[in-house]
Amino acid sequence: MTDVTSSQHADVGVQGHSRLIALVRSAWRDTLGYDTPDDDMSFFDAGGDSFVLISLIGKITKSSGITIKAVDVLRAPTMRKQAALLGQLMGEDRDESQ
Amino acid sequence: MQSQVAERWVRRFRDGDECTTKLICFPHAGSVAGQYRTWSRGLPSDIGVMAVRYPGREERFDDPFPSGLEALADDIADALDELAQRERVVLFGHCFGATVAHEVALRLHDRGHPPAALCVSGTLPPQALNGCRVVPTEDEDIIAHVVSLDASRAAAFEEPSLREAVLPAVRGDYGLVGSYAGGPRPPLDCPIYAYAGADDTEVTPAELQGWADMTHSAFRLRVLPGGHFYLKPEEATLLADLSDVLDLVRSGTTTV
Repeated sequence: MTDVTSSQHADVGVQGHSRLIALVRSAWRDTLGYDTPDDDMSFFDAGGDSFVLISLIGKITKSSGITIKAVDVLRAPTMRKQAALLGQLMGEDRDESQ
Repeated sequence: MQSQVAERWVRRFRDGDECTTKLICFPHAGSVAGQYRTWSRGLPSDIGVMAVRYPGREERFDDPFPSGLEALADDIADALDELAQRERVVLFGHCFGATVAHEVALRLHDRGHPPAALCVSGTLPPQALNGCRVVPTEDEDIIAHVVSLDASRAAAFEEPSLREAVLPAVRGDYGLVGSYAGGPRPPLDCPIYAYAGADDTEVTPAELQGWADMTHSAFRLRVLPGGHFYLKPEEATLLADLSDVLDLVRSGTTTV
């Protein structure tokens, strides 16, 4: 991996982090029916289950254009981690399109 | 504050200084702690309500399965040890969860801080197992069995993405059930409260009566309308009864 690619990943992190958190928070709110203020709270502690998770993934995919797998979201159960996952996947998309 | 180990193993729905008695719930095979999310609303406000998080699902998707049901009980007893030393705990489990809860109760008993009561629902006592049970081992057979007991779970296996997320836990838990031989166990000193669905095809109320041999203390069986998963439709009745049990436990009265 070159320095250029790394800095592009960093761009996603710095510029896009709060945007991605907002996107994920909005999807959580739509799915759970209330606002979750804690970026580090688990989706399952917040009231989610596997069925709700699929609905969450649908909403995230719709607003981000990024397809994510259920098992990857299980491995990233907080808003912060899901935003980071999206950032990473967006970075990969960009790498592939180059 | 609980240790990190306890945090990993237990989801807390209600807890606090005023909660001097903790009800620790054990999910059935393939299920999750969130199954008991609604219970805090139906139980007295000074009862802490929490549920065990088994490995292989949700936040613990990548955590390895234990080698057997007894090993799982060892891990859970370790995770609950500090809590059980400090607080009055009551264990409730349904089906697979009841078997695990009983094995955990035996371990806490051996460590000198037994639960104040054990509540078992919808499963045979260990001495009635008489060797390993025959359980389905192929994915499609496991799914068919799960759906035969609870048709609402069919949807989880129809969506490929959801199936990939939930099947490992179901498969893992069925493996633990199938390799558990049960057999005689020393009686506990705490009371046992058993619950049965009147039309349960997995275990009859009469068979649940066998749990009486698993305690030196009081035993009582309550039969509620419904099948194996009577818990959800009969939740209000069950929680009203559990509230009475928790009252007895709090007042130090163990007679039924």
